[in-house]
Amino acid sequence: MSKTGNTASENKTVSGPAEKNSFSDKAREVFAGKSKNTDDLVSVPQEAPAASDPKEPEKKPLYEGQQTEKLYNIKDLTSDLTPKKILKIVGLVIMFVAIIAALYVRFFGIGPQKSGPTITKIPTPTFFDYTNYKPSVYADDPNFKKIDEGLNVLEREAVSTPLEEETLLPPPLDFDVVFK
Amino acid sequence: MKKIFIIISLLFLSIGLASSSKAQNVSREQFSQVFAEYMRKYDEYVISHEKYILSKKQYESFNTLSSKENVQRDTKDMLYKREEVLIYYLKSLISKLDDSSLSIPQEDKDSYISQFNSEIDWLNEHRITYKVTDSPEILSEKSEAVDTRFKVLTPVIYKCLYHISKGKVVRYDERYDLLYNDLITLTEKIKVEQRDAYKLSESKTEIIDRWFGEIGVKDEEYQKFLDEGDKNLLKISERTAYSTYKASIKVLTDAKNVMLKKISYMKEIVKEIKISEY
Repeated sequence: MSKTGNTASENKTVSGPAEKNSFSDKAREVFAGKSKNTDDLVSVPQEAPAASDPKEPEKKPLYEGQQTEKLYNIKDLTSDLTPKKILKIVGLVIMFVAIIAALYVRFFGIGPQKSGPTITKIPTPTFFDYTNYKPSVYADDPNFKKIDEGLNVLEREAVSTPLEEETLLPPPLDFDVVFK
Repeated sequence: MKKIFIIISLLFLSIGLASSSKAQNVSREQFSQVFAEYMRKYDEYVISHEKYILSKKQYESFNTLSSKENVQRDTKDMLYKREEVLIYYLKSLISKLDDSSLSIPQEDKDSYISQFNSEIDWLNEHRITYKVTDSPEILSEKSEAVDTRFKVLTPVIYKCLYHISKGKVVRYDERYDLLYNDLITLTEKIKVEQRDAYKLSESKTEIIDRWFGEIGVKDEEYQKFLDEGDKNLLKISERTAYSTYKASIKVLTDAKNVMLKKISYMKEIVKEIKISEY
């Protein structure tokens, strides 16, 4: 059963010259939106081609055999706009723009810029006491070791000891002993 | 016989070491005790001061005989405790001046100790003059006398605190000087070394001499900061005592930083000598 309400037995092949005009008229009707509810094959009911002029000479039919192809025309798409057609057009336009943008980015390498600040992590230098040298005869000299050790102890002490004696600042005392 | 000799030697050595370390710590232990007592006295003063404030409020609000009696008692108690705090505070300063880890000129030390001791004596005499029968007005007058004396003493206290801090820096520098002299002696010995494995090349000797020169520059800078701190302290007065002291401490901190730089330079020289040229 087709959406137009015609049964399969009713769909017949256009075969006579008298039926030529009626078929093209029907096709025009379909693409003009009159039969837009159907995606089935365009079929012409037997009763439809009755209004042909008997005086006209018989012509060869345009199509012989069963018509199975949909006939699309861009003019048909833009004429007689309905909400569904508008949606289709918008969809097509969006798809077209997306394809173009994707191709542009792919071949020209300019992607959309990220908004917001870019976080750049600055590497922190760390002290690495790697001694890539040959020690001299003084490297194990006890006199130099003693000086080295003395300097390290002194440095540590000087850095860790606060210079100011905060606990020895004058105590906060009340000297304002006055009676009204 | 040999064993007995070794044991006796070790015994003497341990006694000697123990006595020397004890001598070093005596001043610090003494300071800790005096300071702990000062803190205890301060806590007592805070409690008595709270009582005095309450009594004073009641006396000023109601002016009754009982409130007057209470304020006289609590004020006398608070003033007595306040003077005890001052006495122990000055004793703490004297004890700190005796600390062996500080290098303070003896005449400065004596001058401070003498001033603080005379102030302690005065406070000891003054605090026994407080009587329960003293009216609030008399107590107020007696308190004012202490206030005036303490205001005069305040610049001396801040000067003393500056010298305590400077004493630390100077002590560090004295210890640094000993190590520096040792290094100079060793370097001079190396310079005249004739053995191939032990002598330094001319270029390396030049580098080390240049680095010693850099230390000399830092020495001058260090001395300049110390002089600046002393000069700054001369401006001290009753009104500007604390701010002048703080400014001088800042200059001392700069001097200490220069000294730390000298230490790092010396470490570099030692490291350079320890690196083989071949």
